[in-house]
Amino acid sequence: MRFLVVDDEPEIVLLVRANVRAWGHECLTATTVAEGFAACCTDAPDVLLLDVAMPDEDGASFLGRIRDAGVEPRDIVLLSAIPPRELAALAVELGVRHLSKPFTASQLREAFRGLTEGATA
Amino acid sequence: MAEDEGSLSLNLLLDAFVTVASEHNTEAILGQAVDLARLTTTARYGAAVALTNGAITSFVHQGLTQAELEALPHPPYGMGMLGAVLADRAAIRLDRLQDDPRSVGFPLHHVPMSAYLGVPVIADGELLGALYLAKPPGQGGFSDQNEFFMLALARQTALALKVTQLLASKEEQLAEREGAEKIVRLHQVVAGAANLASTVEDALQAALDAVCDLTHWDVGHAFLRDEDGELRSTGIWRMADPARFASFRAASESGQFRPGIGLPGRVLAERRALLITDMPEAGLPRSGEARAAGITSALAVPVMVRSEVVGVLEFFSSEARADNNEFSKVLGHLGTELGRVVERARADAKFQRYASDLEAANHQLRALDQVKTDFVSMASHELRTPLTSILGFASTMLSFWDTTPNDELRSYVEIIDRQAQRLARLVNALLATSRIESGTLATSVEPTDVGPTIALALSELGDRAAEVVVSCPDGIRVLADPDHLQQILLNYLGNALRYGDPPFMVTVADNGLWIELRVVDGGEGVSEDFRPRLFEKFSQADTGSTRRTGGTGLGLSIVKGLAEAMDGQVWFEPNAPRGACFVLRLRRWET
Repeated sequence: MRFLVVDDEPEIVLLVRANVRAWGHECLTATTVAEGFAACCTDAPDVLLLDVAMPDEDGASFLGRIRDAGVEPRDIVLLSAIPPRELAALAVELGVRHLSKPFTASQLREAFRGLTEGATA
Repeated sequence: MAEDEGSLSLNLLLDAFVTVASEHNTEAILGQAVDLARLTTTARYGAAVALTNGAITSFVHQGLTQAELEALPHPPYGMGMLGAVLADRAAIRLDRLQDDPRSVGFPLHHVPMSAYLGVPVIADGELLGALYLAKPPGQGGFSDQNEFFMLALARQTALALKVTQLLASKEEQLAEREGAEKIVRLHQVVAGAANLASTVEDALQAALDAVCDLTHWDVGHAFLRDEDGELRSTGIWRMADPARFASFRAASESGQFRPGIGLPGRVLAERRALLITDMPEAGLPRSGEARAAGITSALAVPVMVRSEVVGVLEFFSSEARADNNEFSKVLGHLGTELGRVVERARADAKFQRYASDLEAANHQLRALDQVKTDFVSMASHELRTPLTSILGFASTMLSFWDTTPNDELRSYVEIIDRQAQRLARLVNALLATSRIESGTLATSVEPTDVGPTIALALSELGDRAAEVVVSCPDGIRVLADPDHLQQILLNYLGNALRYGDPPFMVTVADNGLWIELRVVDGGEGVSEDFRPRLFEKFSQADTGSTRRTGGTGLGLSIVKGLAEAMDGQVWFEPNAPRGACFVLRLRRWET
């Protein structure tokens, strides 16, 4: 499976990539919305991990754009350090899943267990 | 002959009835009576008096030369023969005046009179006056018929006088009633206007209009006392002819009427209405302007709230105005009515002020609440970010320890270390912010050497200190907390090295009372729209770059708090030709 992580904090990108690779999957990275949009268009990731509070564009607007462009990955997880309740509400509104920061390696794994089990890298 | 004389007398008497009765003026009635009496009796001298409340108020005489007139006892208050007629309420007929003791004192040598006939004028038993006739010596006496005629004439005169009196009192009553009606109307209009008026200004205008309309004063004007108790023109006027009163108005509006000064000032001091009957000659501050505007009378009334004068209404007229008790009383009421309006308006204003103060306080509290909520949410976001790296990489290392190459593990540990330091800085900054905001920041201000403090701050920066040029005169000392000063310098220098470009400089300027430290760089500077928020919490120009450089977003807000705790100030100046300049101003210390 092909993951794409979009976050303006480079170290979060590194963290997600280290874990996804350790599970045996491919992980693309982007630290700006523009890079993330380009990756969605050209690399067709299966899973998108998206930080909702990016400096150049918010997550909702970004999701709208990839949906309009028909390049929406089949699984989307919002990542954010905003208060968990707000994040959950936003995720419901956008019809996607969410994961609150901070998270541990096992919490990240849990978020994708059903999706990745049986899938090949 | 006797018959002719009789018919003549009767005709004259008839004339007298018609003539005398057609007059409604005391002097004219007396004049007609004397005319008729002299014509009938051929007496050279004739006179008549009328009494009001027992005193002679009218005196008419005929046949006297100017010299004779001047020789008469004047005024002839109940003296001599006339006095006798009045006292006896009976006719007196004498052939030789000089033989009668009651003529003593009468200047007969100047006024040659001999025969005398005097009759009282009585109506319904009331003595209204007397008529008398006199002839010079050698012209004979008065006949019975003369006396009969005079008595009839006196009765007719009495009737005419009585009618005149009645008419006068009727007119007086009518005038009084009209005055009373006017006063009642005035009261109604003013009270109504005062109650209807929504503002003090409206009430004053209505009062001025009502008084001027109903009592025909030419000009009305209102003063109110301001917060300092000074009487100030309200600029509210009622005047028929603005051009005529322009300079009077200007003098009124620019004048200062302290207690006792001018008409309004006197009303303020004496707390009662005042009438000035001759304004141009009254020696008042506006007497000159009053004369030029043709003002004669002035009336001023206090506007009272309980026993306090809160304003003065003044009225001016080109006519002479007499004091009128009833009118003054009504104006007194008017002042009280207006006082109520002023009081109500003051209470309203006070209430409005309280309400808006309360609203402002609420608004401030809500804003403060929002600031706190924002702060908590920002702080929690900022804390979660480094914590995500620390927790994430630590747990990743534990999960994949065996399968992760050593160099990768080492890079994870480096990230954990970096983010832990960032977290520590953030926690310290949040604690400092909390202390500053709660006022529990420990500050101990003492004379502090600026040069060595700058050197100490630079030494903390390590190698990069070499890039900074310092220009500081020797021996400069400021009143500062050395730790705070050090922290501010470190923040300014750290920001310059982190975000700016060379040349980096620290300059110190001595402004006498103040010392100004400037930390300058030659980089991009600060965008104009961000400058106002530079020293606010979590207000980074570019969140991304701040994160990448590990800033907390609290540094400059802490700098501001530290500076203010030392009675200092901070601000930003654009540096010419490019770059940023951050200033710290502290109080100079002189030994």
